Formats: sequence, structure tokens, C-alpha cells
Amino acid sequence: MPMLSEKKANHMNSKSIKVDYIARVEGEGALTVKMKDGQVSDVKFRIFEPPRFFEAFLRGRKYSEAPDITARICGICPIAYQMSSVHAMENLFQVKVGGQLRELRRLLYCGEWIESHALHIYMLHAPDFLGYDDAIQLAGDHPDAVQRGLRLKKAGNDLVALLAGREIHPINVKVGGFYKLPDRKDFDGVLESLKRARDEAYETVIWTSKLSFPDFESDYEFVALSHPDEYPFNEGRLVSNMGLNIDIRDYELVFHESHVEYSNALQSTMKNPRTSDSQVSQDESRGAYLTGPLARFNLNFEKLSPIALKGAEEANIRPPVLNPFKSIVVRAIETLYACDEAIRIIENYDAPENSAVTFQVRPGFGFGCTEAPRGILYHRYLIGDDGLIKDAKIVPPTAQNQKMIESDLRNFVSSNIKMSKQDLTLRCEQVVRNYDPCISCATHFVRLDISEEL
Amino acid sequence: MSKSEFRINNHRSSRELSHETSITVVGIGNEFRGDDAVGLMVLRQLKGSTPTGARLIELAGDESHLLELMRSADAMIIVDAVQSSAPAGTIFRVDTGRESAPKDFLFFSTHAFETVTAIETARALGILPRETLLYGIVGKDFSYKVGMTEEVEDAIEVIREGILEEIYLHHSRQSVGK
Repeated sequence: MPMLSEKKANHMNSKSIKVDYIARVEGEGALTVKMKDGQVSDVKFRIFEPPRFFEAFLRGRKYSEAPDITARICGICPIAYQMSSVHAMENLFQVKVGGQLRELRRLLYCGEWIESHALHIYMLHAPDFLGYDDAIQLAGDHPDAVQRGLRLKKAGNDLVALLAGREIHPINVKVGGFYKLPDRKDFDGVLESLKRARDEAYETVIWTSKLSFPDFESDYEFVALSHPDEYPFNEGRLVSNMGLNIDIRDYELVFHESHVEYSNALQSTMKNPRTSDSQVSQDESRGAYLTGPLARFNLNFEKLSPIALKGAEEANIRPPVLNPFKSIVVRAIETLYACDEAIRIIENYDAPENSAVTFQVRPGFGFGCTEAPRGILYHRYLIGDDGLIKDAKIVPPTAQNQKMIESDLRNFVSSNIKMSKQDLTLRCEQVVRNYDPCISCATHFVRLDISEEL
Repeated sequence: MSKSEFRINNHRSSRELSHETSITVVGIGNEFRGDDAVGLMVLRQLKGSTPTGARLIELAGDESHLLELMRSADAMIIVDAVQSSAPAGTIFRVDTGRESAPKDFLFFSTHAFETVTAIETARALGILPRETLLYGIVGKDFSYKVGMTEEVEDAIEVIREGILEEIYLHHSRQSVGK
């Protein structure tokens, strides 16, 4: 890494941190932090995301193709894309998927949360806390922990593979339900591995809670789905700790996307505060907000199952959690919850007679928003009389968190201005990883180049 | 959805398969990112031409899944796109079962949990199959598009033949071993 000349730095009285491509975040991203006269002068977190490409790709396709096409956007959370798309279509077609079919969707989402969270906790985020460059070093010194993470992830993978038809590119989800349903006995092996996974998720909660967390908190506006009866996956209203409470069809009245020059992703911000559906005003800027595990946990804590609450208590973590570095513990608690919820659903499973409910295709707008592992994922479609997609809008959680990530970087660097540049660079990457950003979800290819320059 | 593609997996399937599978070939890529699709395309070209028992797996986006596949593989061949100053279509073959992947590969192909990290993590955990080969194909256009550049397309048949030869060699080594 080229080091900044001390003399030059003094002369310029400014420095910058530039990480062209960030390792251990999903997809592609880069960040630049500029400092001048002991102050942060500029923060840019650039992301390159694929939904724009897919929005264009979807136009002219049949409504029924949306789940399988959008699943390709993200190799880590394809189920989230499928779920938001089917809910959007069902919203338009006025279809209600209930009973065991609804439970199976929830179960499928449990699988995705388990595998995604386990990957992030153990392979991507834990090395930061333990002073390792990557999971390779972690595996060398803590093989038992990494093996535990891999077993947890496998439990999620197996669940997704069973319900989604296959592990990669799930294909079993459709508007109205599923193509094919599992039998009760199909769950036997998975149930046993989930019970082991639940124990290991509990260990993970305790393990992560013992990590060392930088002293850093912010006054966030947390946004998540909220459902009266359950910790949210597929359904609910959009709420915040600052008074937001809206139907998801009003998403675009409150959340605004704007293009920023340095990033090809659209950046989301909230408009004015509102307390009910009747109070809509669009002229007052509200700014950045946070979506994802911290938001879900802080807004839905009491909906966690007893064992997840017990884990949280033993880990000494309770809402409001305002330190984003502690998201690793919250992810562990959500993993524990997802294992427990999956076991509950499987133990109560009774295969329904039909794999999907019937419906009439109608033209118009459909809205869907579900809780991807990284936060709320919004889909909106315009369907024509012929059942073809005329327009699609997809807002992934990372685009929504992008502005808050920049805000965290600005605040963190401002409070740690005396830290060495090398340490600060690593901490800045950790700040980004706190959000488990899925920067360009299905992009498998990234070039890594860390440099530091004026 | 193609009905023929669909099957409900069950928990035991991969374990059962491991007893009858001698070699696993994994093609990695994203078919919506130009040349990045090459790993998947090589794999699809192999379908129907490999001996019984060879397992062909597509991976798109979650390379950590390699670790799971390695647990149940006696031998593995991984095919992935890389970026390099070498001309597009250049093929790197690295015997990662015997030696670490070149550090430079981190610059060529990386992700949240990318291929080389998966291989090296597996080595640290002692689950890397003794025979693990990495084929990297240099691409030049990774923009959002469907379709690869000509040089990369041309490399597919060369790699396909190379992999088939590796599979047959592996089988003959196994036969001699027995």
C-alpha cells in the first residue's frame, strides 16, 4: 500500500482514505473519506448495483417470471427477491396466501436468514473484531468457531434447498404459493440439523457478545416491517422509532431515491416525518435511515421467541441498540430466532391439499416489501392487460442504507481522527461491513485494490 | 421453470451422492455479467459428456458454498472467471490441492467470500480435497449484459476438453489405486 509522504501530508494538511474495492462485502463497492484540517471534509461510499439492469430486463416479461428473474439479482438472498416479487403480484391480484402456504414461505425465509447471517457473522464480520485479515486466518486460529459457522450455514442451505427446489437459483416459488410442496417426512433430516443449529446459534449469540466493540453510537431512525403477531419476514406495515407507520403501498410517498454522481446506485432518503397515513407531506427532508437487523430488533424485540429473548438477555443486549458494531450480536440473535421459528413451523407442518391458491390476473400496480437479511426490499410492478410487466422498480436494502453508511463513516472518522491511517482504514471497512452490504448482489466478480492517496 | 430441472432435495441426498461421486466440477459465475458467465458456460458444455459419477455444480454468488461441497468431494475442479493483464481468453490452471493459489489471484477474482478465500479456508480447516484444481479464465468485459466476448467463448472448448481429460485421469488413478 503506498504510504502518504509525511512531508507532503503536512504541507497539504489534508489526507484521504481510499478503498477502491472493499473485501468481505457482497459485490462491488468503494469508499473515499477525505480529511482536512483535522475535520472530515468528504465521505463517499460508492456502490454499483444491478437492479437498474434487472428493472429493464423485466419489462415485457410475464408477471409470473418476476420471482425467478429477480432471484438472480442476488446470489446470497434470492429468496428475498422472490418473496418481494410474489407479494407485489399478489397485492395487485388481490390474492391472500394463508395457512400452511404462508408458513412455508416464512420457513423458506428462515433458511435464507440463517445461511446469510451465518456467512456474514463468521466469514465476513468476525475477522474484523478478532484482528484478522480474513476468514482464512480465523480458520487457522479458531477452526472450531468457523466449523460452527459452516454447520449453521449448512442448516440454512439445506432448508432452502428442500423448499426452493435447489440450493442455487431457487425455482419453486410462484405467485399464489409454490410449484411443489414437500411432504412431512421430507423435513426429518432438516429438523434434526435445525435443532443442532439452534444450539449452535445460541452459542453464537454468546460468542459474539464477548467481542470487543468500539464505543460508537448514533441517533438513528430505524425502519422495519412490523406485524402484530410475529417477528417480520414477509408482511407488516413499515414503521420507525420516529413515528413512521405506513402501508407498504405508500413507500414511495415517504422514501425518495436520488442519483448521486459518484455511485451508479440510487440513494434513498426519507421525506418528512409522518405519524399516520393521512398525514402526508412531501416537502420536508428527513434524511438517512437504517434498515436491517438493528432496525428489526429494536422495533420488534417483543416478537422474538422465548429462546431468542433468553439469548439476548444472556448476551446483555436489549433495545435500543444504537451501536452498529453490535449488529453482529443482533444477527446472531436473529439466526437463533430463525432456527427456532423454522423448528416451530416444521413441527406444525401439515401439507396442504393445493400447492398454490388460484387468482385472476389484473392490470395495475402491485407493491411488495419484505425483510431481506439486510433489511427491507421493496418491489413495485406495473402489469398490463396482457399480464406483461410494463414497469418495475426494485429498491434493495443496501441502497437504502447507503446514506447512513456514509453518515456512520463521517461520524466514526470525526471521533477517531487521531487513529493511524492503517487502523482507520480497517475500521472504516468494518463500519461498512456492519451493514452487511449487498452492494451488487449477484456480482461474483470484484477486483480488490486498497490504496491511500491524496 | 423447466420441470426436468426441478427436484425436491432431501437432507440425505448429498451424503448418499458422496459415496458414489469421485469428482466434483464447480462452475462459478454470473450469467448477467458478460465474461463472468464463463464458469457456468463451461459447466453446461460438460453436461452429458462426463462419466457417470462426476458431479457438476453451478455456483452464482455464494462461493462459501464451495466449503460445503468440498466436504463431500474426493476431488474438485473449480472453473471461474478472473481479471488480469493477460489477454482475454487466457487460461490459468492452478493445482491448488498441492500449492496455495497465487496471491495475485486475490486481485483477479474476489468477492465477499470469493473462490481463493474458500480454497484457503478449506485448507486451514483440513477439508480441502487432496486433488483440487482451479481453472481461471481471463475475461475483459464484466458489464451488465448477457453474452461473452469472442476470446472467452473460444476458451470454453479448450477448458472443456482439459477438464474431461482431468476427470478421466482421476478415474484411471482411482482404478490403479484399487
